[in-house]
Amino acid sequence: MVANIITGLMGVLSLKIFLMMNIGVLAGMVFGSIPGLTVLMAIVLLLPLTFGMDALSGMMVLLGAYCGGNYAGSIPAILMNTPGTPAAAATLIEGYQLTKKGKARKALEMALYASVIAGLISCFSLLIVAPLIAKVAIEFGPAEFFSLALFGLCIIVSLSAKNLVKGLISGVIGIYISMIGIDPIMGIPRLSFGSYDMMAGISLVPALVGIFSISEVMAMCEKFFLSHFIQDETENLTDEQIYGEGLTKQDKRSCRKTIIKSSFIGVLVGAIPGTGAILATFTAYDEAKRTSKTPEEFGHGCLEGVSATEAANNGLTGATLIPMMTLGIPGDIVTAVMMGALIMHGLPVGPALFTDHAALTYSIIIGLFIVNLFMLIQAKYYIKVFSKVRRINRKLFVSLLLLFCVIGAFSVNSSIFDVYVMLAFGLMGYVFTKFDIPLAPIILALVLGPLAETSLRRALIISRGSYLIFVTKPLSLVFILISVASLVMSLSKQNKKYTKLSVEEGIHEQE
Amino acid sequence: MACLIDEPLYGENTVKSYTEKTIVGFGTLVTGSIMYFLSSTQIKEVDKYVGMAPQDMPLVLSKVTIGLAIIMFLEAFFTFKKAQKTGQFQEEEIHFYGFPFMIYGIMWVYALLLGGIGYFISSIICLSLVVYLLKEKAIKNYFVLCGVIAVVYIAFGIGLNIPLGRLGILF
Repeated sequence: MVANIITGLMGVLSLKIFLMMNIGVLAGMVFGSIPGLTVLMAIVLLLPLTFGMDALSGMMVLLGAYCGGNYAGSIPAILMNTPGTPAAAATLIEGYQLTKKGKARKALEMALYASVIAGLISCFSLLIVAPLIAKVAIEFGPAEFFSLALFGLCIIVSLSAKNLVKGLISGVIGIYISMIGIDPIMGIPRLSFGSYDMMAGISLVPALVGIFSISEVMAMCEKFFLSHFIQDETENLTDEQIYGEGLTKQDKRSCRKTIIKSSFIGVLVGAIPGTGAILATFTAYDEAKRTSKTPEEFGHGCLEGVSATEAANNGLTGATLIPMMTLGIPGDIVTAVMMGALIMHGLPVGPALFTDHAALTYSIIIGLFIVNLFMLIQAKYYIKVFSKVRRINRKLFVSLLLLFCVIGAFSVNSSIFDVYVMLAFGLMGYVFTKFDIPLAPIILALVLGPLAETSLRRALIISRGSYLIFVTKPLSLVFILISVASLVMSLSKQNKKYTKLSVEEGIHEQE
Repeated sequence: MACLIDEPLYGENTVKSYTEKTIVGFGTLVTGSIMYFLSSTQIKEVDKYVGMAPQDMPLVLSKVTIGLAIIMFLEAFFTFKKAQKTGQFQEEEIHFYGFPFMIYGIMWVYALLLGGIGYFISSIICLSLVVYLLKEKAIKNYFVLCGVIAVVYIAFGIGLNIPLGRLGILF
């Protein structure tokens, strides 16, 4: 392992890679610091740019955007009471109160300090845990891979949807779309209408750009139409009033324990597919409040609260890569996109990464450490600049987003067909969002669908058509049982909600 | 069946919830039927195979989609019954505004023009139109937009070697 780490380190020690990391961090920070734009959108739009690069440079750009965007979501949360990313929702509880007290600089620096420490802890956990899981996963056969893909899909469906049926609808449609093109086992064209473009299948990037960016642009236009563009509440305040004094050694010391504890919460939550940053940040916030010496300060501008939420948020960054890199199961949508990037660079996702491409894999992991350090440098020196990004002209920005969406979709295969695909998915994403149908399952299904189908059919060929192969293999059985359990638990959660409602109604009627 | 009902919660808009589920159910049913039709007609049937034929999985998925649509209808029905019982009827619906669709329409025009008249002219026309519809009054921002379009061409077409030039006759 030490040899692999050294090889990995040698791989990233180049000016070109450092430049790519910084570009990624910068792009992530710009997107993260603008409310309404997400880390995911930054990564989706950067993804096509990485095709012309080698795999390591491409991944460094994306990981830079991931880390930078995750941190930068705290900037508008602290300064504007508006989370730049959904994960920063917990940060605004304390962060904005600190801004109102004239301590924004303290809050911003604490968010950065916590984010970097958590990011490094998360990388370390990835470095230690991932190779161990990969060692076990290398023994997997088609039956295990099918069960694993099923597990990934079920867990995302059950956790991302408020309504399980809607989550299932999204997932099933996603798998169906992933089947367009040439059949992976027998080579027969499916659902292609005789078109060569369709025979190549639906490319992941146009689908991603459409579902997340075009639908978001449409939502922005709707907000504009309804005059809901977010106003900067701190616009009339001077920089002196907003920023105040910086973080002291005493501040850092008082929050150190909280940061480390919250980082591990982030790592644990992140390593479980489908859980997400919001769960991690609010759990860390509650835990910090519960164990704080001054819990009464929470809610009134407490630095410890900011450190807890931001540490948990960035503690996820490395941990979400664990299931993706070792098992080929993305922990969330962002890692699903990164998985797509690895696939497009011709790399096998899953345990084979650690055996067939060990040098590259370790370079990516070591690179993630360095990305966090670059994030520290960029944010420290340009924090005021990033905080002004929020004042960007939104009207111009919307049209530029459209331009990047079109170029991004086109650049995958230099095909205008991909632009049409992107637009079709954009409409689908917008309509799905309107009806509260989650988008995560459809993307996960697009990524995992081919793996699930190929593994299922290969397993059935091995077993001569017997489905018992999935329950006679112990690991496969375990994954199937967890998948079923996740769906049953989701149903039971909905049932509890219903029962609670009925009881409340009963009380209401008696009154 | 109760376990499938996650809404309405107290004080939540039940009419919206009922309408939403009915529309989602209807949409899913239509989608499932189209999926079934396409799976039956657009995939060549294979007789000799071991395990699973190419057409099997799409057919199974289309049937599952139709099944989910039926469950959605049942959810909508139970939500409606619940709303009747509690009297939580409020006049509010899911709104679709024309403006985002107008922008979406412009995007289609943009995509079609790209293939015909090329990157520069179509980008300038369509994106300026979007900015105009978003009620941007400052002329300088239109110039900024044109500048960015040119920079993107240089960065992508020349810097990153992404052949935007093949988009149409004029670059």
